Amino acid sequence: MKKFIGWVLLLLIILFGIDRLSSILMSKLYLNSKATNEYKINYVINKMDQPVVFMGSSRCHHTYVPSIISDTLGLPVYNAGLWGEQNIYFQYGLLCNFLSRYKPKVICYEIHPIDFMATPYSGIERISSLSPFIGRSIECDSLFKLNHSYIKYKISHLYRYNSTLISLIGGCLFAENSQKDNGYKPLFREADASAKPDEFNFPLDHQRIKVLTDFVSICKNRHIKLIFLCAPMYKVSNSCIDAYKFVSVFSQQYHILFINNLQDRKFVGRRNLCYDRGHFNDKGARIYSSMIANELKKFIN
Amino acid sequence: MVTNSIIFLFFFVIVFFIYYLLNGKTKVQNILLLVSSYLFYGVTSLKALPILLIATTIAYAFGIEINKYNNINNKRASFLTTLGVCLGVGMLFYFKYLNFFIDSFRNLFNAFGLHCDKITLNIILPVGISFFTFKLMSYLIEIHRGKMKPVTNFVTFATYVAFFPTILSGPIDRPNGFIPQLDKQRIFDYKLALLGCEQIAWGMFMKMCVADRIAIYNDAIFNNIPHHNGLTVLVATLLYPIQLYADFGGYSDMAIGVGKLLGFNVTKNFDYPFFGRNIAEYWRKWHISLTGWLTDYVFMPLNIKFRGIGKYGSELAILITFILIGMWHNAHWNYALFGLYQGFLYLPLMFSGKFFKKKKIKLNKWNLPNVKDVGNMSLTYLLVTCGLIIFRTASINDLGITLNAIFSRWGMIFIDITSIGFIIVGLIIMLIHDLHKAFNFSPKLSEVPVILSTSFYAFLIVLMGVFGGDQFIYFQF
Repeated sequence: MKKFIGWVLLLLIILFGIDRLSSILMSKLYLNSKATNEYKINYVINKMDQPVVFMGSSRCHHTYVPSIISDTLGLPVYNAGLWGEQNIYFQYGLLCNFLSRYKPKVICYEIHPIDFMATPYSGIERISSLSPFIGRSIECDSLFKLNHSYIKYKISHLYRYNSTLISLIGGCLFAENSQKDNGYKPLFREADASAKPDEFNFPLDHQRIKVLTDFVSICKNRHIKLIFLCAPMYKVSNSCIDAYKFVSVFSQQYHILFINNLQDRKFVGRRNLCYDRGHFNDKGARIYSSMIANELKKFIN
Repeated sequence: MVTNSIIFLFFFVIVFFIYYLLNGKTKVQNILLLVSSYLFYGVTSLKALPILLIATTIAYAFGIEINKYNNINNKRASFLTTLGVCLGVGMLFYFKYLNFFIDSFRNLFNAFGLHCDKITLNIILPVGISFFTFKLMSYLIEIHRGKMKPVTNFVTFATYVAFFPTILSGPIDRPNGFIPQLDKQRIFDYKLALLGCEQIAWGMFMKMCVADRIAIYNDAIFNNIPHHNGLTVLVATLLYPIQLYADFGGYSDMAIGVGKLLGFNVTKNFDYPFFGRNIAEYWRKWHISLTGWLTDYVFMPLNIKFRGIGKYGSELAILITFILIGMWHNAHWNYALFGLYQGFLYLPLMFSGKFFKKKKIKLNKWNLPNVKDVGNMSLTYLLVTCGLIIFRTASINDLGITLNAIFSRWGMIFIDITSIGFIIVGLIIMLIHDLHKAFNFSPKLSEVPVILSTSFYAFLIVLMGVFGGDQFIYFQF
């Protein structure tokens, strides 16, 4: 039995060594990857320095064209939005991570029902995209603890890169940086006329609302101007309109500007400006960016 | 409690150390195994624990009674055996099939215009009932056949039935193979323990890196068939047998590995089934403990009974056996259809006389099967895949939707690069492993120390395993 315990200990030592060495290798791959997700998260956390930052999920990623908005505002702009239903857990973690290095003047947050509703998809597991940066921000680490994954990431550094190998290798060898215009990623297609609108018949999620409130608090405490945005959609359901009523109440409660263009007639139902039911194509994004930049100019100086 | 969970790891480490603190004290070790097995089962399904206990007690009493009359009153012994087996079948029928038959009869009456209201009885399905009931029935049959003496110690018998590594999903150990191991003095076996660790790591690799990885892709397809084209559905269908093998084979490897750490040789459940060159070879290698059980207790007696009609008798016995194999899985007509399909695949073998022939695979100079055999293996795989379409779908209606999707709407295949990439890596590693184990195609691999192979599997699990993946597929059965 003693021999076996010795064998198990040796196994653990070998595993520890492999874990630490391979995690260093994976970290190098991660930092050099040009694949959309890794590149953007790495850039936002380690390099982004623009005073105006747009945050949110795919609806932000494919909507706000920094060069257009920057020209109107006269300030450098970065679009830190990321596709993949990245909800408030991810956004709060991302915010805390880059705030440990620099502070923007303004954050324009494209808010979405996944940020405050108990959607069966896009839950707290979205925070795992930030696992390579564990230990940088106490606030972000608290979300890993909430997700019961903190200990696992602490024990195994390699686990922080679980399931990313293929995308990292592809990102290092083949991918080109697709964020040509300060984080904006254009989409090229016209929406399918038969697309049905997204429905949001979900209850409010108090845990997400708490994190959203923390997001607001941290911006206020660091004197960052926070603006909530809602871009138009190609097709809008009643449940979606109702969902954004919460944002109106919430923003009033916390004295945050909320620009809600969800039902803007210049865009709703215009196939040629949309990519699908919830996203603009490049043409739509450029027109809308120009419009929202003029609206924002009134509040950003 | 799932075998590849952290909770199970803690549970097992505690049991393992107490177990070997009692080194050599067989009876106390058995008590520990029984208590931990009931704890394990109770945590998984507390409501079913009394059912397990009652069934065990009844079978224990029947075993003693059958043995008592075995030599003095064979008729009574036969009666008791039949009654015991009927109780086992009845228990399975009640818990697993009653609602299904009520539903089927209602549909039948409605089809003839006789209105029948829907009745569904609120019956719990005890986890692992299909596995432990089969253990109980084989125990009674083996005693009646005089192949073993009844167990006089209740703890030993109850431990055999509830042995925690195998209670939920098998393998279904035979009493004459397993119970003597419980009576034997068990002292820690270093080499066996190392092999156990390696097998657990390999089983976890199969489950987390292959089965659960394919599950991500397949669930995305099968749960949204109308949104995918025929080629995509076909690829998902072709991956399904591997998913099932990696899932159930992975579980079985973990169970066998845990058994080895406790000093037991648990029955092998898979013997690299996709290297089977025809359907008979495939079934001799797939879920061996179930097919072996049904061969001994259903097919053989039926084959003897039907021998008057020659090959037709054997084929009839095969059809009945396979329908039972299908229905054993779950109470749905598609499982019966699955069994019937497998049975029909035996027809060409039966009438060409190849059924009883067991030809060894001839290997080429690289210790790999030759092209002809690989061709036959591929054909068998395709036939198995066709059967598993029936197995995978929830109903006959869904089967129609799947088949319709495959044979219409062809287009570009849906590629989720991460899933496909990891699936390919997992499949290559699994293929090398299985080729080596089945044909020893690279003798140098045998020289790799267990500590390195175990570390390698653990490394792969952390790197590419799916954590928090699906439950084991066979838990539902």
